[in-house]
Amino acid sequence: MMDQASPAAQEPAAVRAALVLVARGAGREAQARELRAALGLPLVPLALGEGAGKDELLAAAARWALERGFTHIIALDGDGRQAAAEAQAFLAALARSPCSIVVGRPAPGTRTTRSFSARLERLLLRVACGADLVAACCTSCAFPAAALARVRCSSGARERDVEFVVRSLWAGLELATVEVSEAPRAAPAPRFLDRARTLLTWLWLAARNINPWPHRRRFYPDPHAVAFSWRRPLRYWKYLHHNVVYRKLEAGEEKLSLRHPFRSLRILHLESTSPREISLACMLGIFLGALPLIALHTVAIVFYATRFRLNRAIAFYASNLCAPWVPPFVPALDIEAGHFLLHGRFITAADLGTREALFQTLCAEAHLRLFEYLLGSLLVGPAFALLVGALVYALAARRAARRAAPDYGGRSGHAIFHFLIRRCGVTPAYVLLALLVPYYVLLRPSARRAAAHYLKRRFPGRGACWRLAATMRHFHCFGRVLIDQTALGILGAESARIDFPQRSRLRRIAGRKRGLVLLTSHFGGWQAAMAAIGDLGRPVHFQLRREARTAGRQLFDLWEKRASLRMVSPDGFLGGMIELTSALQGGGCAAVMGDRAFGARTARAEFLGAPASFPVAPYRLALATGSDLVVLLAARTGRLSFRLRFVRIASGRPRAGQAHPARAALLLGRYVRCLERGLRDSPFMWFNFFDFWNGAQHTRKS
Amino acid sequence: MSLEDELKSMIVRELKIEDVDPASIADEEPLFGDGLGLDSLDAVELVVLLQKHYQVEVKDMDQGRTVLASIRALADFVRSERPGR
Repeated sequence: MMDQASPAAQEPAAVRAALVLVARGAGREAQARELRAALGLPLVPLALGEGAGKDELLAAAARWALERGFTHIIALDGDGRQAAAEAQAFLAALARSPCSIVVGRPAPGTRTTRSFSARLERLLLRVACGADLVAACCTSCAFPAAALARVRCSSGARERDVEFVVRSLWAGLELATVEVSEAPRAAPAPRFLDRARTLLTWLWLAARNINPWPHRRRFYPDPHAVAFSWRRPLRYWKYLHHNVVYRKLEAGEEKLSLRHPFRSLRILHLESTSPREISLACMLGIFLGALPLIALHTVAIVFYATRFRLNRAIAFYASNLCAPWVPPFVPALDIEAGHFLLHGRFITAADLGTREALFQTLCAEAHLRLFEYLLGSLLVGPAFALLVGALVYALAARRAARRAAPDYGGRSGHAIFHFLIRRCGVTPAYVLLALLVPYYVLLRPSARRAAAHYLKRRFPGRGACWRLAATMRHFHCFGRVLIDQTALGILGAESARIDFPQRSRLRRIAGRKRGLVLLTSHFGGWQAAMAAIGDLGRPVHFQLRREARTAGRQLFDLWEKRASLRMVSPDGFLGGMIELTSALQGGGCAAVMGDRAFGARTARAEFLGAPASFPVAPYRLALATGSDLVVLLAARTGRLSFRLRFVRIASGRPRAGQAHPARAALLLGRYVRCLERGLRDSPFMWFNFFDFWNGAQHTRKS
Repeated sequence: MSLEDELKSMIVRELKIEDVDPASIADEEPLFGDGLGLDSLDAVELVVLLQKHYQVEVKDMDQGRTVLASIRALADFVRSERPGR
């Protein structure tokens, strides 16, 4: 960490972190002991009275830490459900980038508040610091201890955490985020006045960031950076240029450089490219492009795109929609709107006179047109920006969804396969599949990308040629499973051979009537598994999002005719959890996907060597209702034949109130081990075709 | 202690909601979403708690939508299902 106030500190300091537990409560002491034992980090003793605010506690902790030579503080707030894991993640992030403030970010797929005020808050914070901050995730953070002395906050206690993060970023700290396994529980809805005060604070911070006057920097992570000085302004402009041109990218250490124009152009196009960020960059470019900032458009766009951490190239391209060298519709519209605002009517051809008079009129009234241009742009700019932003967001979101969840085959493809299976059986369908798979794999990069996420982790270190062949085999397996499950639906469950030696044991477990949660996965033919377990003697409630074009829709039709299988939609009230709980309480069975969150809470677990997000609902459901929990795996073994097996991972009876997240995490770990064992035996039976490790929990259409 | 207060205390205690005083929860405040901020996993716990403490059962999502709307709705449901109370 570079500190201009202390020139001796010219090398990155080693991270010596101390823990501060801000949460109060009866369990605090026990939690502190647990953390100290788990992490080996010193815990700052807080000797302040119970009435002291969080800022006083942190200030005292910072003094304590600095006096003893600690460089960083990890402040943990909330109920500490994942405190040890969070502290470790914070520590790792600090080690990677010591001059950073580390805050939490919700795991992909975590359901966050989507009310208008929450969205407005998020947008204002985005404008205030250029980062996607979720206010509830800022309560716990890690930062250099010196930051507390150098960053001054002025808001109330409710907004203090977030303001501290924003001002720290202004002061020069970099932002690092760590995934919070379970999103903090949403606070109760604040009173109207509290909410208004919070919004005003964010508005004030956003307004300050829009103001082009530079923020006072107090931290200098970049050794080439300098502070602003009136005596040497050129040196500061050089620093600004450095900050803009050589800004480090979050994805890696690649930097922009004039010596590598193509690489720089690629980097410029790759930064901040989520649909939301692309849309915001377009809106910014168009809004600024519509303003009469003659000869300053590019400078303003690059400056604000950098400050708001948006894609500079896209903002620049979008601004050209308003440029006078394309048909100058936007400047003309600006002038017309400005004229209308001032005079109550538009400029018509009659006002401009003859061609000879036109130039005279333009010159004589240039100042009037310029004023109208400015006035009109304040109306037309935001409106046009909103229009284009919405359009771009829709297109970018659609493209992102297609990339993440490619839809193979389409309506006609499904129809052809259904016709073949219905009329000629499965063999012609297998032949057609064998002909189609190379086409998909060779001609569709999205298909190769979709399979590569899993294959790279399951078979690390293999070359590109091997992976191409493996991708073909993977899709071939997938296609055959889809054909088989479609055939099951069309020709009936008796057309398939399902080898299930543990059937009587599963029936015995279900027969105990204390509730049974069946944990299924996108492994092999799980739909076939459901067909096989339809005779457990207890009705099975299956949480499933049914899509009209899924390959096994006939199978779903078949299920619905059977009294023993009841489908529960995850799109219903509270994700259908009430039905599932009620069924389990009555001693019935509930089948839930273990690798698809449907928008509910997720937790991270190590899967094939890297952390991935899994839903926690099945475990919490089993623990709360005291049900047995079994993992069900159905591998395809040949033509219309499957081998089904299960592993019981929970049979305890903890009742409500004991469904602790730690116990759920333990069960999740057991489930993942079962899944890994299944994939070790049948490596091409994993059918989650998206970036399961880094992406949100998407719903794949197939 | 009224049934409403009992339910508020039970929710805050058993669902481990921090920084919320049971007395500050309004009877009409929504339990899920923007109100008290409970989610589907809390609903699981809540349904089990209702069964355990009051021997009443919420059976499906249509009933749940009405019953779990607020503390008032929850209390009315418990009273109607347990007329002796």
